[in-house]
Parts: sequence; structure tokens; C-alpha cells
Amino acid sequence: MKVKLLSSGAIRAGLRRCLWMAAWFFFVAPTVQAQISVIVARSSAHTATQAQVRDYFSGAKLHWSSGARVLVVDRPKTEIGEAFYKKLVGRSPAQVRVQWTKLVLSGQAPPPIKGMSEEEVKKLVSENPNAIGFIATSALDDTVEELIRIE
Amino acid sequence: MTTQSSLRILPYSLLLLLSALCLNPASAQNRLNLYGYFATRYEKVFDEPRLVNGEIVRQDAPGEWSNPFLNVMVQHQLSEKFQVFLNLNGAGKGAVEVRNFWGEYAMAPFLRVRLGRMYRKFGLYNELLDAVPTYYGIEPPELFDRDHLIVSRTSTLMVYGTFDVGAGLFDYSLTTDNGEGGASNNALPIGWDLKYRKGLTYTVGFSGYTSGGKTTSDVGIGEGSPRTGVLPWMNSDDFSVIGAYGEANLGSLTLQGAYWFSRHDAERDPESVLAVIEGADVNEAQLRRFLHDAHASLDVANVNTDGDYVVRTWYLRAGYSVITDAGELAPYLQWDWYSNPETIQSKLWGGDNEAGLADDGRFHKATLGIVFRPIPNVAIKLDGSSHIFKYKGETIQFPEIRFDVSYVFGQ
Repeated sequence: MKVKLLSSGAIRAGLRRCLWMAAWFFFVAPTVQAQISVIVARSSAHTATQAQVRDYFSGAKLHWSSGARVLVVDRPKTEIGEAFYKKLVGRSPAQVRVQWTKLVLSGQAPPPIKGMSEEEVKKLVSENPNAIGFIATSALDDTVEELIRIE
Repeated sequence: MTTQSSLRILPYSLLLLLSALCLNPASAQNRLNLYGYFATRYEKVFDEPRLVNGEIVRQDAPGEWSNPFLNVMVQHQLSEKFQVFLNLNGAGKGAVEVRNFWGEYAMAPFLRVRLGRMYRKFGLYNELLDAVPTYYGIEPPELFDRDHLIVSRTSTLMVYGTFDVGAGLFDYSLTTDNGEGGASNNALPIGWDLKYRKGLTYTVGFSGYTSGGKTTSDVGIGEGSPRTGVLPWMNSDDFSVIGAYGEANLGSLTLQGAYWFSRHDAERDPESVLAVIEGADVNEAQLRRFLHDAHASLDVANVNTDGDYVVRTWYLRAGYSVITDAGELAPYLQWDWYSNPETIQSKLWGGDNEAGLADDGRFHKATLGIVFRPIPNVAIKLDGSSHIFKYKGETIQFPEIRFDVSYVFGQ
């Protein structure tokens, strides 16, 4: 039986492939998984920058720039909610919740609507042109419109 | 509003809300939300000074558990432009108080009209004081301490709105009502608030109020502390309040500050002043204010009816939020200062037991505390204050501890 020895070039190419795979596994794959899409209804005419979206979800702004009241669809006690508020607002969901409780107990705003699953959020958002929610980018479909993407 | 009148309104309030619910089945846009909070509180004052025959007597006050506060709130968005809000409080002994009941029509975000019984927009706290679980601290800032309110907390008609200027939001509000002592042909009270907000990071604003003419107190002498800015021994009082406030949320750190100034152009009622002097212990400085000659006989002619005075107060508050595996922990530090030379010590006679005992009506209150929120719905607060003022030139200090547990439901 002949044993074929690998050339040094082949070893280097193999190592390079391994390094690329490791880099993809450690850096690219988690980013893809953690992408979050902020969504509105397809019928919605609203647009917003990331700063405006941050203000809507933190309760700092209660109206779209058109003047309509923003209906926030929140996802309490979920991993995606935890990641979303830390990335977008720079606060934990608990800290954001306290801010909302201030608004709600003082009558300044109704509580956010709760949507626990991706499907529930898409349904709530697609049925209301003033609603805004967030889902994993991988769950996007043609029932809703992506407003911005949080990397 | 008295408890009796509150109870009379209650059935109508509920009827209106139920009708609204029937006419508008709940949906994401037209929702009826029922929520509120429970809270209970323990307070104990140590070595509390009292004035007895011109001398300070110190004694521990009995530790006191407050009746559990129960606030039930109903908010109904009847349509995109119309909403109703009801805030019922059951802290009294078996009585229910309608703290807020208003309807609001929103023509645009910059023009909204609210009618009913509402908290006026005034500084950082007035609208939030019922939201005890949400803020740092247990006691309200001194301007809204119920023993010596700088202005009434509620109003009847409010026009307000928000202008989005891209770099931030400008909020304004104008309020009016019957006035401190009830409807009058000679007074048009106006309250206002103007503030700028940049996200949740910065808020700066100004608030003000004018009685718009001569007004009176909402309580008589011997009936306790007024729920307005007018002392019960005044025949009339034409007064105004103005102040500035700010808040910064820098990461986990929250900083707040405010300064308030209230000028009273008041006239004392001689008979009431004599009743106060005879019924309540007043100190030397107060006798000199109330009488032309503090050592002469107590008669109507000796009463100084010129009751002009100025109230000033400020506070600084800081809190730092730390998220742990067990929940949110937030230590806080507060410093309040209050000055009111006209008030007396006896609460029963409409006074305040700190400013009213001090030589010059001034006191400091330093507070150190912590909030623990194991879950966002529950707040457990523990704090301690040191009250500091001068009596007969000597610095008097006494401590107080408070413990408060609250639970927000339905939100």
C-alpha cells in the first residue's frame, strides 16, 4: 500500500480552510443568528431611524413623526428581548420596563402589547399600521416590512 | 375633592368606562387596560423633637405601618384620538378616593386637551408620585410633601402637547381650574410647564403657577394641612410659584435636581391667627411674625395682618442602577432643603413639624437608601433620613427610617 504524503502547500491550504471555518464559526455565525429586525405592517407608511426606534421602544417618544401613536409590541422575558434592549437602548429590559411603568402608572401611555412568539409579533404588527415590533431576521416573511436591522 | 364627593363620582366613572368598553371591543388599537399597584410602608422617627411650652421635648415616635396603598388604574383608548383614564386610591380607611378621572382628545401630538381631575404637569414628580414603585426614594420632594404643598397637585383643564424638533422634544402644558380655595370671580389660576427632552438622557424644564388673584385655603384652621399652597389662617393670598428642574440618565446613573420659589402676597385673618397662637405651640420667631408686639396682649389689634412671605426649596437626587442575577439593585442619595418662615409646627393647625419648629422655617433632609427589584414588578425600598434644622440657634438633628414594598400588577 502506498502512503501519499501531503505536500507542505496542501497542509497550508488545509490550515487556511480550518482558520476560515473557525473564524466563521466564532465571528460570523453568531452575528447572523443575533440579527434582529424591527418590523412594521406592510401597509404602514411609517419610517424611522435607529435613534427614533430606540426612542419608541424606550418610551421616550410616543408618536410616529406623522403624529399617530406608536403601538409598541414588546417581548418580555425572552432571549431576543434581552439582546434587543441591550443592543438598541443600552439598558436591560428590566430598566426599560421601569421607564414604561412610569408612563403607564401616570396615564401618559398605555402599556406595550405583549407578543411572545415570532408569529404572534408578526400577526400583531401586520394587523396594525401604527404598531412596531421586533423579530429574529431569520423569521422575516412577506407579512411584515423590515424597518431597520439591529446588528 | 373630598372622599364623599369622590365616592359620588365613582359609580358614574365606572359606568362610563363600562359603556366605553361595550361600544369598543378591545383590539390592539382600542384597548382597555386595567392595572395598578399595591404598596405598604413602615416608618419610624427616632428622638423626634416637639415644642412644648417653648421648649424642645424629644421622644421616639411609634413605628407606623401605613394602610396598604392600593391604586387601581384604568386606561381606555377609545379611538386613536380619544382616551379616558381613571386612578382610584384606596389608602384611606375603607374609603376610595378618585385621584384622577379625565378624558383626553388629541387633535395632534402638539395639541391635546384633557378635561377632568388630573395631576398638573409640574416638575419631574407631580404626575409620577402615584407611581411609587418606579422612582428612587420613598418620600416625595418637599414641594409635594403633603404637610406643606407648594401648590395644589391637581387641575381641571389642561392643554398640552409635544413638538418633535429632531434633536429632541419640547413639551408644553397650560392648566386651569377653580383655584386653591374654590371658584372665585376675582382669580384665574394658571399653571404651566415647559420642558426639553433628549431621549431618556436629558430633561430640563421650567414650571410655574399663579393663583391669578386673591384666593383662600381649602381647609379651615384646626382642620389639618391644606392640600393647596395657601395656609388656613390667611384671609386671602395672591401667590405664584416658579421653578426649574433637570434630570440626566448617564448609563446606570440618574441625577436629578430642582429649585422652586413661591412668593405669597397674603393677608392674615386676625381671629384665625389668635386661635392658632392659643391652640398650637408657636415659637418666638413665629410670634414675632404674627404679632406687632410679641410680648403684648393677644388681641385682634396686635395681629400683624401683613402676611407676605416667600417659600424656597431645592433637592438633589442621585441613583445608580446595578443589574445582578438576583434583580436590580439601586442605591440612592437625596438631599432636600426647604424654607418656609410662615408655617408652624402643628400639623393639626395646618403646619409642618420640621419647618414649623425651626427658628427660620428652614430645614435640611439627607436621605440614603436602596431599591431592590427582584423582578420589574416588585420594588423593595429601604432608606433613612437625617433631618437637620436650627432651634434657638442650636442645631437639632433627628433620624427617620422607612421601608416600602410595592407590587405593580396588570401591566
